[in-house]
Amino acid sequence: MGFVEVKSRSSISDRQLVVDPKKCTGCRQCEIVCSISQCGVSNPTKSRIRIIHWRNKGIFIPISCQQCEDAPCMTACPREAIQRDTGLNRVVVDYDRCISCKICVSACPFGAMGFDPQDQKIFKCNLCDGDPQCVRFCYPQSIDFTDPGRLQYPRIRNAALKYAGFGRKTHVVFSGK
Amino acid sequence: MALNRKLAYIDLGQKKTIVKEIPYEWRRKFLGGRGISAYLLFRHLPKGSDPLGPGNVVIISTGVLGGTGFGPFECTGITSKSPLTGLSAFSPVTGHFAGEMRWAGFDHLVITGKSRHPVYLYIHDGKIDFKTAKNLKGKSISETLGNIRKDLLDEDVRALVVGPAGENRVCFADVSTDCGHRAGRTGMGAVLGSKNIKAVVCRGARDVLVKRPVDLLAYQKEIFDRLLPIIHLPHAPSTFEKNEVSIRDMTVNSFQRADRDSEMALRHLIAESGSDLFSTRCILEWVLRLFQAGIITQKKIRDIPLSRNNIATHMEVVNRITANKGIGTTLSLGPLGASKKLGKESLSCFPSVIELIQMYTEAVADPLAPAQRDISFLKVNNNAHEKSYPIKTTGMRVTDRCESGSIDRRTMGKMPGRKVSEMVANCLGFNGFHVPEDILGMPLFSVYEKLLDLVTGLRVKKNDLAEIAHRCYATERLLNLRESSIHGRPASITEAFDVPVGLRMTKSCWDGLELKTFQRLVSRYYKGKGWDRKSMVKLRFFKNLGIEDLWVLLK
Ligand code: SF4
Ligand code: SF4
Repeated sequence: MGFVEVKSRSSISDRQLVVDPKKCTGCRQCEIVCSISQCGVSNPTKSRIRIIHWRNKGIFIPISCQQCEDAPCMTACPREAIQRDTGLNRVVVDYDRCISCKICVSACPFGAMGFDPQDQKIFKCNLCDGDPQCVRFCYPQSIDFTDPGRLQYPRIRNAALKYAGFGRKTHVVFSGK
Repeated sequence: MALNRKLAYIDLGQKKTIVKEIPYEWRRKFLGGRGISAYLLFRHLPKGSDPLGPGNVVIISTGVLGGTGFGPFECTGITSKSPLTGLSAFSPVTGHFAGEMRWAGFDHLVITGKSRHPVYLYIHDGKIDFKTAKNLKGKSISETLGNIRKDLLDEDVRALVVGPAGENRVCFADVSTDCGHRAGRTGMGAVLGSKNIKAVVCRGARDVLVKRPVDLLAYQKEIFDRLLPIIHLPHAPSTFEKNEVSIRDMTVNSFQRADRDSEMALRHLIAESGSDLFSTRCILEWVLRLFQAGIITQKKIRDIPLSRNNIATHMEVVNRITANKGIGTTLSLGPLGASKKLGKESLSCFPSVIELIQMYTEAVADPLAPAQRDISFLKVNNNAHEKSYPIKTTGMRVTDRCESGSIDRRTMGKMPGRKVSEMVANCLGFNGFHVPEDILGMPLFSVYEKLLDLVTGLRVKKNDLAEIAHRCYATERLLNLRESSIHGRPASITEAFDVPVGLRMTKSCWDGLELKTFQRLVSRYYKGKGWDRKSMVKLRFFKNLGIEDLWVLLK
């Protein structure tokens, strides 16, 4: 998939992929679905989203490309093959320029850049061109595709609830204490 | 091609493996999963072999839809000759093992022989390693998993683990997955333990091909959305735990323990020791009743002051069963085996015949299983039947008639619609996919047809699927006929009736249903449906099914 082609297909959207690890059950449906939609095969090692877990402690954290504003992979790429697609607010790879040197794989602090040994190509999350399959299939709603303006809203609301003392005996704010 | 998959023959004695392609012809006849396993078991199980001896064969299988994103329904099947019944058994276990095994490169593992030392099998990227498990001997399920993960320096391995109960050949030992799902009934833990296998571990990065990925995702999404009102998706481990608890509560409700913590501790102990929870709880209740009836004396259980309210005594009994020591030696044989040592009248103390049936027949492939169950419910009202089977509808309206494509239906046995759909699901690698038609929006069989087409490109019609189900059942049934003629009568539920008059179970739906009546019902069931020895053991029958290569093995 060429960079130019991707850009021309994109509609203008600011939405971003956000994860809430607390809701993740570790079912790995997102990994399977991502690999099927991106590569046409089921193989979690080719998934653009990976679940890192501490199963005994019940901790599951979905990790995928954060589409960084100042992306280290973009900076590191010697061929300028990684660029920003402003239409979908994502970082995309132009495979016509990419020489598969894998320097981006080393540069990404999240490990979100992968390398497919069969195709000899690097891969990363492309937000499924605006219709993220992982989000569609994550029934516990641990992954969301949302506007930046609403990114922090669930957390603000949670913090506000705590602040207001819901669930405690005294409502700090409303009791005036 | 999506169906170009491999199977491995693992010889534990020689520590050798042979990897082969799964022939396309087998797919056409048996699809995969339980079907191919039944065929392989028939081919490789020596006639009359001891279930816990080196001659027994264990087949671990996944279906053709394994690892393609059906999480909560996907299952791994363990097929072998059961130490409880002496008949062929298929024990399904949900969880992620099926997918990982396919990503590791295999659809079926045929395990034969016996290892000289404890080992665990590490299956990764098309290779099979025999790893020593000497340091894992006697370790609980979680300890074993922890050690294996440390040993392989990999947190993501998926495993089927045998607990100390399996190592010590407790006949109702189960197999646990890394996320706690269990292959409960039929004692597959004991069979793996008898082969000195402590675990089967998988980790893979190979592709599982999908014929039409875009359509598959669209259809999967449609199915999952439709299922949402009736099922939790995806399957969170906590949800699974809750389910298990309710089943357990339902089954042995006479324990009447007040202390929740100790109750949890007992469950935890049973789970960690690798025994089937349902069976162990039944046995515990049985021990109490045997004690009250004076059949087990204080002397026999040495210093344990057995009491219903003292959870420590239950734990001690569990420990003895797990270690196969003291009274545990007898109890670990299962109620029918133990009753041979304790006396026939001991069976009259068993909590109930329904539980006895469930302990022996759940997931056992012999069509006798459903027959026994159906017959067992002849005596209770319809509501009780519904209660025991919380399946909303059969999902398939094929009815009792055998619908077949190329096979001659006049010479074929008949199967109830639900059994046909269950068998097809097991061949696809599903378990518990009993979804009402109105929720799916189309007949269950149309869903199977479509999924098969999307994932593998195989165009199999409803009639062909029914034919495959019949062939698979017939293969299992024929093997059972062969095996039961060697040992005489295999451990059978009918023995429950063989107790002195007056001591027969009370308060059960079997009251008054005499052994002879029961046997008559069972044989009428088989004859009526065409699954009796006379109808089946004929070369013509084999040829009709296209399994004439098994004919020589029957003799
Ligand atoms: S699908 Fe959702 S819940 Fe399941 S592993 Fe992925 S992020 Fe977690
Ligand atoms: S948005 Fe698409 S490419 Fe990115 S992780 Fe999700 S499924 Fe994979």
